[in-house]
Amino acid sequence: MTNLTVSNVTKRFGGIVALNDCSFSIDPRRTTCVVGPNGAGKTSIFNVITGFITPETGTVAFQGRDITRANRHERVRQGIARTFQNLKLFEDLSALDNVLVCLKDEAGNDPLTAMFRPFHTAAVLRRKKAEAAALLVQVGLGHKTDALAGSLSYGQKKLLCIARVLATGAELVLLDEPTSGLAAGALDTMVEMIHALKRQGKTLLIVEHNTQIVQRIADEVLFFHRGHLMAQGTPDAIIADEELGRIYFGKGEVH
Amino acid sequence: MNYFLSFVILAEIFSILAVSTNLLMGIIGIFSVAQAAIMGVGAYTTAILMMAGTPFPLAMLAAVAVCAAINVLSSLPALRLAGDYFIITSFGTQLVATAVFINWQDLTGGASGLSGIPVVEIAGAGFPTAREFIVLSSLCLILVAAGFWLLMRSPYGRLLHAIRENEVAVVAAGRRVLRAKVGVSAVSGACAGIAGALYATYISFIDPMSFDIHVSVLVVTMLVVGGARTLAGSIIGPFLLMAIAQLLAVVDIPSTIVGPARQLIYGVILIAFMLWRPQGIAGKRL
Repeated sequence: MTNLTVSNVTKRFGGIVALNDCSFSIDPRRTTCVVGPNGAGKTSIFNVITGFITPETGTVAFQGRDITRANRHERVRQGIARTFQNLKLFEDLSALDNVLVCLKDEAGNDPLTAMFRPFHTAAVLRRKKAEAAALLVQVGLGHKTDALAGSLSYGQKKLLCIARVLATGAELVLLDEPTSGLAAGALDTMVEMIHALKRQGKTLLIVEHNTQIVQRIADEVLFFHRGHLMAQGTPDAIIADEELGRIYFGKGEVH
Repeated sequence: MNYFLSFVILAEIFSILAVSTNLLMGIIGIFSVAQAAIMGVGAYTTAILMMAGTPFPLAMLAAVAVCAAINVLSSLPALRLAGDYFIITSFGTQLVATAVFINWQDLTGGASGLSGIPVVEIAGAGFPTAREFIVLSSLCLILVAAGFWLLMRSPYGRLLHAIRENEVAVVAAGRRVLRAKVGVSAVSGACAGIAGALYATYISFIDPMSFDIHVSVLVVTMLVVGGARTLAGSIIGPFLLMAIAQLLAVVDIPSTIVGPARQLIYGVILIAFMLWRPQGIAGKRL
């Protein structure tokens, strides 16, 4: 049943312990929000799961396979994909090409085929364009296929990131602050998008600061503080916990 | 007439080299000032093999293979890390190559170079003068241009653009960035190999000066003037700059000044384009 298992993961950066002996698992088709104050280790846990950093100790397993030392691209192939807090779009490429580059299908991605089998490559390109266009429609950017990614509004850029991550075909999707910086309208669109991903059967792991949004989208919450996983539970239980509330909102905490 | 044909042939050869440089510099963002060295390796390979009796097509194929391999090896540091430091590494590659051309005398003829490179013959047809050779050089440029165009419109071309834009995002999409970069370096090297094979057989004489740092910088200038990233830019730049060189040759100034004057004009053009039109005549901003 368990999709992702993180066991006893520790990661230090110099003297700072970014993650301290963290263990948790996530079941398929569940939406888990990662919360905690700044510097709690939220992005670090994302980086460990997606292979952007390697932990000193501990393991990460996905669908029963140990992926602690797997390459980043291998993890995507196995079904784990992520977005970034700072988006990392290909700003000078069209929205369509942004998605096309991320499609799971490797066809047409080598130079020899491109140069020596032009008709085959043209057919592959047509197929991929259709697939990418369908994904853009799915995230509500069907009217923006030819627009340069850099010219989109911030909310549209964030939706484009969702289309890119869907293009990889991943089952486990990690979204790093998908709602941050969005105005009310765009925020509701994004929350609706997250619900649509849930309905599609994706397993979601989401860094989210806004507790109201956490309550709207999360089945489960992981609460991090200074590299420790303080608690794992339902949104209501976590939000009701007074100690966690003090940590999160800084009430009465004196240094 | 022969004068004009000769200009076209050399401009075509440099266009092929500009496509090679464009693939690295414009498309994937590896700033290299060593493409003349790679072309030199292609020229020497072709010359040495043909002087030993190898037919031109085979010698050119060998040059293409050797240059593809060497270009991948020499750009390996840039394949591993993205960054501007590679320009220094490529500068080193260029200097090492020139040193090898000068000092490996048994093979390269040292500073005096190799002369008497045989005339190209393909299936009984000879290409002894500019009138015949232009068919060969034009055909090669058309093939290289077609290859570049097909590459750019394929999914692979989009992948290359994406790598230049944001390498981390490409990795996060599950693509093998290293493999894609090795592929484009190999194609770039192959183009330089074609340019080298044509150059050696057309001029029938090569020496280390033909492929030194000035030539590498000249190609970069051609690309900046013509415009990076586009096919048109790789062709406009070489034709324009070589035309300027030709004009200087016919203007009535002392022959001792022609060389320095050309360098000066190229330098001024490079600075002017960088300041006022960084995207070149028909390209996109680097």
